[in-house]
Amino acid sequence: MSKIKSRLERRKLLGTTETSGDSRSQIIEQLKRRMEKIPRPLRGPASDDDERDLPGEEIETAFGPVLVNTVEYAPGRHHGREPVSGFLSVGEGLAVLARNEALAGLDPTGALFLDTETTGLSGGTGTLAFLVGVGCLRRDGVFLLEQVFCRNPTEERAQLEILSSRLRDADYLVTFNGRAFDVPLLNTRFVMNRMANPQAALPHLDLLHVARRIFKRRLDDRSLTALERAVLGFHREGDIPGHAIPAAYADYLKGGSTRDMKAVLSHNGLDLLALAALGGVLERMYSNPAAVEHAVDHLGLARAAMDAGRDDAVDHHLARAGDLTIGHERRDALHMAARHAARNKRFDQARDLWEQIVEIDSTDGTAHLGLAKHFEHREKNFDRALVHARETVEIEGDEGNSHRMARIERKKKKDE
Amino acid sequence: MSDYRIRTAIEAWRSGTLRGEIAVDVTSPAREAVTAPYPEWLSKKVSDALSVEGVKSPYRHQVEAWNLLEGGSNIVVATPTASGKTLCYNVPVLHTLAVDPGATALYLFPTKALARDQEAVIRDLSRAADVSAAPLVYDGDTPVDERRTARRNSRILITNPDMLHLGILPHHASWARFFAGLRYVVVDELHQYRGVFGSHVANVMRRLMRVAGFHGSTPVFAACSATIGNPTELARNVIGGEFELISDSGAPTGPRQLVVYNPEVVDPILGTRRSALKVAARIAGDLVENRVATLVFCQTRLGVEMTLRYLRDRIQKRGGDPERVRGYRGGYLPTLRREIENALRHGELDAVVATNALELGIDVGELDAVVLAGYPGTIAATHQRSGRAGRRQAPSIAVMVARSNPLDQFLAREPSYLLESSPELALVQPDNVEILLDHLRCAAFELPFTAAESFGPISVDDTTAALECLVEEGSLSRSMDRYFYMGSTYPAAETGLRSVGGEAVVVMDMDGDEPLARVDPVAARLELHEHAIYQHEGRTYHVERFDHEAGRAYVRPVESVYYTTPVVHHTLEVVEVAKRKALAIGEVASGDVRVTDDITGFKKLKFNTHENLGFGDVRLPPALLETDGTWFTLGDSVPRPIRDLAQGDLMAGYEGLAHAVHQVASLRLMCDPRDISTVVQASDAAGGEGSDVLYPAIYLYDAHSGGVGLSARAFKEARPTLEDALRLVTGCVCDTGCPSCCGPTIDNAPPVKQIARMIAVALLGHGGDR
Repeated sequence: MSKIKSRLERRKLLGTTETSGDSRSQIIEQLKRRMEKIPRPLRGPASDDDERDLPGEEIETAFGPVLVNTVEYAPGRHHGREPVSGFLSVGEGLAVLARNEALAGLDPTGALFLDTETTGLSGGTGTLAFLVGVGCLRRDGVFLLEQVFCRNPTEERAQLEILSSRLRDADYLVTFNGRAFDVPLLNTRFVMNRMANPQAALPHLDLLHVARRIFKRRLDDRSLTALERAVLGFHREGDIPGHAIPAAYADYLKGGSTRDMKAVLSHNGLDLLALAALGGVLERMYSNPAAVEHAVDHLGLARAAMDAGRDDAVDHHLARAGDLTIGHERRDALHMAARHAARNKRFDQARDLWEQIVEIDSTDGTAHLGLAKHFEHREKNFDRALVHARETVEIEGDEGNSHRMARIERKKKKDE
Repeated sequence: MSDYRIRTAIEAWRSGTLRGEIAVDVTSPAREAVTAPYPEWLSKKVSDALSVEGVKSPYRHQVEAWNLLEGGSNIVVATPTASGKTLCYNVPVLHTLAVDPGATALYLFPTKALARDQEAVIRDLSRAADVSAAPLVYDGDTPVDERRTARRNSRILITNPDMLHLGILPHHASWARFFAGLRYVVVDELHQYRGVFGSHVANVMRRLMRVAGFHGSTPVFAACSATIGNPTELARNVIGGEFELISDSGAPTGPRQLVVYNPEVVDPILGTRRSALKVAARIAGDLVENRVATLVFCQTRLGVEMTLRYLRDRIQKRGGDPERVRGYRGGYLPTLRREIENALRHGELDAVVATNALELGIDVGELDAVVLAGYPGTIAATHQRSGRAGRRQAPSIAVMVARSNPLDQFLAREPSYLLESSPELALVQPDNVEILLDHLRCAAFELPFTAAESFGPISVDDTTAALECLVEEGSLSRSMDRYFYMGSTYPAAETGLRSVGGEAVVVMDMDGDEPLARVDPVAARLELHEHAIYQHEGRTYHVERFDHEAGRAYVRPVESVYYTTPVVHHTLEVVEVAKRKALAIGEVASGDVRVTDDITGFKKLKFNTHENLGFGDVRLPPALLETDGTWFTLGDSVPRPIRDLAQGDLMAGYEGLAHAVHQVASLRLMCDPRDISTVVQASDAAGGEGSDVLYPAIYLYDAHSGGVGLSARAFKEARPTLEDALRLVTGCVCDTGCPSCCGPTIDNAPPVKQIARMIAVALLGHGGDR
């Protein structure tokens, strides 16, 4: 509204109130004044040559239409160095790494890979998943991608209808950070649309947690794109960054360019391919220790195997971790081996390992404590037990440790 | 017994060396309990539990509340302190939970402390009644695993409006069970929801109703308020819907004596009286000496410490045990507070000096006397604090020691305001456009708007216009006649319930780690400019730096002998006249105003005497405020004696009257004086359109952007407000005007008081005598 026009508006208003009081809504007038203060975007209307069409076809559901983009990736498709169909070999290994028994006997072709793109990053009832990408691997190695895209928020009901049917057909979910983000968000979407929630019953493999456990020693950045670079050897070009996606969708809704939405579709597709490839790599790393490239990864793998009580796998990975030379990594490997030995009652081996650690670093309290316990309880060598108990107190402080010293002293006296 | 001891103490003030005056001394008679039988519909589990807890037969007003709620009516209970208000809602809630296993209730308290107190009460009662209510306080301090439990199991959720706004409503899908069963919403301390806060809370309630509706429930509301002038109106405005008022308490009281003690004048020119803290300590000392257990209320933490020292000194001098007097305020550790509360309950203490930390909820047992060192700021708070004395049927006394400021002095002369029905009006303006838009964003985030939907009582037209405004700014998207939230942020996190427009300014103590306070951006400009002396909790801080970008002010504690007040040049422009009505001469009008504030420097004024110690430099860009205003003017028919005055004298008179209007309006409108402003200005708008003569007018406007209903109401209350102002000026003991009536004056000033009086009499057409 021009300045003159708004002045006329106000003048007219002054004229009317004097005679007729509240004939016009005060709220509307105040809103009008306020709206004049909102800066106008400079962008003109979308240009004619701007392609409005997004890939995919309109699918009609009982609740209206929605856009679905279906892509089949050939069996030989690689993501970086790794085959997407590598996921077909997934079995016991990933179940161990994910610490989830429910995943152990499942058929990889029943996996539903899922990734959402949303209108906001904070969650809550007002955040919509405007794009839900789902994928699955066929037995023949074909990766089938379906991207269900809401061209406006009213298409959400139809989108969730299609998602529901895919969820009902699936045996389990595979996501990256789905436990904290995608799954609760979709739970909310189902409630908001008064729909049953078929994902509640499905086992869920969240590869973020697995990757964190395995790669925490090697990689500082464990985002999917970082893992993709470091583990799969895939480098994205011209990818739209995740934090820019909500604004891009808002812009699209306002009639902005579809270029960014195409980038979002491509981003989402790549995420799902990466997910399948990454799952395959993790399985291979666990079940075939010889194939692990970086010796330090064995530590995480061994740790996971230890937690699952898979002693064979622990030994295999620890054997290869022995090659580690960097101080703290080597020490971690020795610690793990010592703990594993002690737990399997190979006490002398554990003692040797702890002694090796103390040799590398005489201020390692955990090793001293292991040795103090060992000499006190196994070898009944109270002099040596006392030496290590004293070291422990000095390094770790008093908590319970001076009590130990006193006890060893007593035993020693009794012995004498 | 206590009657006799109290009388002895009063005799000491009349005849002793205090030399002030007992301005008011009124005793309201004792009242017998009025009870009623338990209603037949009430679950036996619940009535049995009450009998076990000692409620043999409930008071009539409680039974009335139960019957109304059970019948599906919303109620607002506005009975005095200690009349058993919580049972008014706890009983029907427990009954409903007992008979309907899916039913839930939401309890809202304005503060975390009150919520925690109530949690214990409800837990005990529900356990006694064998109702699985799983009451839980859900606020910022609730641990993560308890939050999960609350979402799954809680049937009574106790929280505050901020948490409802920020953490619950935007995630209502996770609370589907709770909202689907929602039968009751309890809003306690309703009178605290006024002004900016109340206007926000009213919109949170509109959102709550939308969400409840989505999950298929229409809860009944039970509100409790202090005794204010307009509890039903407030409930309607804040919560929405119609309300039945319960104001006739059936609870018994002992005879209650109210004394207002006005200390002697020590400086007649400035109108300064003896320190209320010292006098309060002296009065409390006399009570303690007569073995009357006493609670002293001070306004600030510092006041508590000073009064405590005076009182202990006096008791020691007179051979008493100063250790039997304790302080109690925020900042004391919780364990220490519990210890003091216990000692007080068990009669181990003679007196406690406290801030409002002890005002509500906390059970301190029987006290015979309350001494208020100064007017607590609202009449409702005065009653709530006084109500801490005489909890059973023994005689009790409340003494308010007046300070020199205008409101304390006004009340010392107008005791009817403290004794009869309260003139206080708790006001909100939920349709303040800024506040409304903030909450429409949040509401759209919670549930998309459909076309032709109305938000609370706002018309479809207005709602649509506001939604379109949000589409325009880009936070909503419209498709197929529905409005979806499409901003990339979490809107509730961007809306604080305690300020309008813009982020609150955070005050950082450079010598501490914690932020000291959060201040409304409008107030921050006036109080937190560089080199200002910022006052907080009775301490003074020097403002070292104000970071406009970050919205932070950095302050350092100093012992300042002066305070600062900015020299603000207000220019007011009337944007739209909404209403006008004639006065005896001239008129009062209200409408939209635009105020430009130019800060050109600041004054350093000495504490207590307000003596000007010099000026400081500060340069700030002008600030624009669009808000509601109400203005008084004599127009062009100015009567003779006024017309003959010199222009300077006339303006001084207007300024004096404006000062008085400002003070008495803040009492009636139940707000902090800082929530409204006055300016005297010659204006064409005041004279009517096309007028080329400029007549002075007194403008009163809301200090918050868009207004929160204060000056709009001042229009309705124009006559009583002017009458109060006239009585404030006329009744003051000074000769020609002083800080206790017309505000600070300069040497050789004209007789401000007399001129202000002339103007007020002309506007009213009478001398203000009732």
